[in-house]
Amino acid sequence: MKRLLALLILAVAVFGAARSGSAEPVAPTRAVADALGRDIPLPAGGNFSGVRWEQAGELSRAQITAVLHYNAACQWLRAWRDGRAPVTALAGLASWPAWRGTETAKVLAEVEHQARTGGGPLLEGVLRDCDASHAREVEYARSLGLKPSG
Amino acid sequence: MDRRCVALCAAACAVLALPATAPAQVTTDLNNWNLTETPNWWGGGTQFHISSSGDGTASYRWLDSPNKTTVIAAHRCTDVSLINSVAISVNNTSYHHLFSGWAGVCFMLRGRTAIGSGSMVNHDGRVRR
Repeated sequence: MKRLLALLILAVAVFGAARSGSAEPVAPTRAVADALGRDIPLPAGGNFSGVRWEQAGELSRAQITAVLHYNAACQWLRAWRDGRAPVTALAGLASWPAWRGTETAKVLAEVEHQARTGGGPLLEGVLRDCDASHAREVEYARSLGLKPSG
Repeated sequence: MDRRCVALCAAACAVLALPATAPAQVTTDLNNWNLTETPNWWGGGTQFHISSSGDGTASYRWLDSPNKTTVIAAHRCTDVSLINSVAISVNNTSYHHLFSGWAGVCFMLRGRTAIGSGSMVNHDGRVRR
């Protein structure tokens, strides 16, 4: 019965989020993010459990999607750097719809270019940001009793 | 040594003392940001990055003189965690340092007015990084 109730709450949350416009804030965010994140490809062992949705206040669906995608991009970059994914895995990151025409698209395009051509300061900087984030995410996921990303 | 020689030496020293290239900070204007006592995200969560051409810092200022004390916070794009927040007093239009990082660091801006002060509408700000 409890599982049924939890499923019902999640369904209402997701349905409510789907009905709202992209600029409308939604809650509860983790439930919505879990649903939105299911279709985002991740390297083996990846997940979004360490994102601090509980501290983010209200977010729009578009923002949740952008955060999920940026987090996924970080996971792919780390996987490539650590030899768990080929450089070709980075090829589509800059063109993900979440940041079409934005500053992030330009940054990730340059990061991918530097990854293919022997490195560069922007690649190093973004990876450093991703590593720091991963350390925080592992700690936060564990504090919630969730499995951290790899 | 005549005056012309002294002036030439002074000019040469001044040029040598300057850095070869001054950091070029990137700025973006945030037009008509409406703030209330409840934090809200600029642009619904617009992502900014520390530029490769700047000095590795991120700062914020109001362009329109604020009529309320406001609190502006930078959060990370990766996990939404808080990096830092600054309180900006009434009428203060100076840049406020948000954080120091490095090229590529991604962040989002969130703002509110001071508790009990009500809302502040249609004020323009600028983020520099």
